[in-house]
Amino acid sequence: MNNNRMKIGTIIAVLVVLSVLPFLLDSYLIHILNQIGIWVILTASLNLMVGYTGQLSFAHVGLFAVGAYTSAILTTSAGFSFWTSFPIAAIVAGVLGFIIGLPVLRFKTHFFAIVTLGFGEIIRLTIYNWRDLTGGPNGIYNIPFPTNILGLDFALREHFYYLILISAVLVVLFVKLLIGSRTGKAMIAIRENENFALFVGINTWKVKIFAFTLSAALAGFAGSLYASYNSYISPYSFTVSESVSILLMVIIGGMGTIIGPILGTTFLIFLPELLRSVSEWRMVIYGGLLVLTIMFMRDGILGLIKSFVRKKKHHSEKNLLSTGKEEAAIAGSERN
Amino acid sequence: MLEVKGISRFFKGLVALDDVTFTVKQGDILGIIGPNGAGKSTLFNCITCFFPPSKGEVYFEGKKITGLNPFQITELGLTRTFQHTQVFPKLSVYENITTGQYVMKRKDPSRTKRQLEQKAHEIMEFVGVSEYKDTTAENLSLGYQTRLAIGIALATEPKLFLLDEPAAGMNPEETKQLVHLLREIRTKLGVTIILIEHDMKAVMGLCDKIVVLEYGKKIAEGTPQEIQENPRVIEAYLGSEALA
Repeated sequence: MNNNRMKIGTIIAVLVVLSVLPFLLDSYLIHILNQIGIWVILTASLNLMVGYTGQLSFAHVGLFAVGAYTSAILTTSAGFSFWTSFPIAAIVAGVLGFIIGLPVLRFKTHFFAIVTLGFGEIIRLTIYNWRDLTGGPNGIYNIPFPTNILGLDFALREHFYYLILISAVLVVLFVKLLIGSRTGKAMIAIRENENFALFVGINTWKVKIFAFTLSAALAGFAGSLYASYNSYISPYSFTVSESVSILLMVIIGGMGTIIGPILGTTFLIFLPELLRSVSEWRMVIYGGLLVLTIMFMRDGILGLIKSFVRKKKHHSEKNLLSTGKEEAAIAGSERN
Repeated sequence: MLEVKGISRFFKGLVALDDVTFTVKQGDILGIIGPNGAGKSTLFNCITCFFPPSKGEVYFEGKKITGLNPFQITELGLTRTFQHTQVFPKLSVYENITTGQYVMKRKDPSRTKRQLEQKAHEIMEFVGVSEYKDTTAENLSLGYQTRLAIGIALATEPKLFLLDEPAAGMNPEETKQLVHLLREIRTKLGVTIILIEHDMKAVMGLCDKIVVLEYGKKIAEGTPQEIQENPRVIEAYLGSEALA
């Protein structure tokens, strides 16, 4: 109970700090925070597939692109406002996710990863070549900002910040609630053991297609924000290297947790800023980080923090109850 | 309770199962034995609708289940465990059991959350894992993982329970305890059991009836006594020289 109260307290404190930041930071830092916010939505959506349902998807940047282009086309050529185009962008990406999911989810493990990689590329190449609709390699310019509401002028980064913040918080909260639900439990069971999940009564096929559709819609939603915020998009923003980046954000942060991908996203977006002076080494550093994460911190940054806190606790309590492998094994053999 | 009628299964021309027929009575423990590659696991997969048989049908309580999905037959009261103990490795023991209760909402919607929690604790007690309630499943010893897997299956409240080599990799003492647990599942919970097992001592001591497979064909069926004396079975297991 006490623990819960502390958690809620921390979350409220963080939200309060986040909501006053535009008054404290310069425009450049706000721009970085805005990018983090958009990518947090995208990584939350990817985490739903990779972290919770256990399906390594490389198609998410493609679905993100579909959301971005839908929104961009609707607001430029079709004259829609952002507020009507963003739900449409989410729906279009969701429907496309469903259609792609039907064949793709028949594959498992690395086969699934490779097939989704293929579909991600098909989407990018379609965008690249469908010049009449997408502007081809030139992209789409002058995507309008959302029209003003509640006295917010979204041409200002500081004001757009609140739209992104609220969207990101709502999406993360939604994912959290979903994971706590019966469907969320089914997703986790599929990640843990898909075959056995069938025999506790889970319609694994239905749950997977639902998760994929939903996560596609969330990626589309993030794409819509991305297009409107940057006011320019081109196929070069949605390459395989972006797919790898968002996957890294999820893995390095700690997949299958709510906070992990947020930490990972923040870390990996700030990192290049810090490494400006050695920017040509960026990819090398990313690669090194991934190897280190997989070798030494399987549960990512969040896992590292957790184990540190746990160690401190253990130290102070000299707790005998352990979940360590050896202890459990010894306890097991003693009982026999 | 279960009727298996002329089940065959072909894999690209290979006959894995050839016209296997048998029935299981309510409350029985049926053992399926046979040399490696005899088609035991394939038979399990066909019965539990994990994949369809190429020919033949399976009836559960008079209802044809062939063609249904596994999650549907779980609702009807039929579940299984897999070979090489399978649990939900990264979840705690308690979460493993509650995951097993997933089907209960469809099976018996009147059950309250409290009743299910209570039941989950009873099951952990019953299979003997309650002291590891908060331990991550992958950290349990093999013997306890098997108990947990059985617990998860029991959480679906089955009428018929199929176990694929539950004693694999266990020491004799663990096997003895497993046999005891399976007997209790039959007597206390009234669950009918079918198991595949290589440990002859366990099978002979536990089962009411045994079906023997060789090269996908049923070569014998009967009580443990009858099976032990059946020349065809002895030949299959020990080679024909043994008879000569």
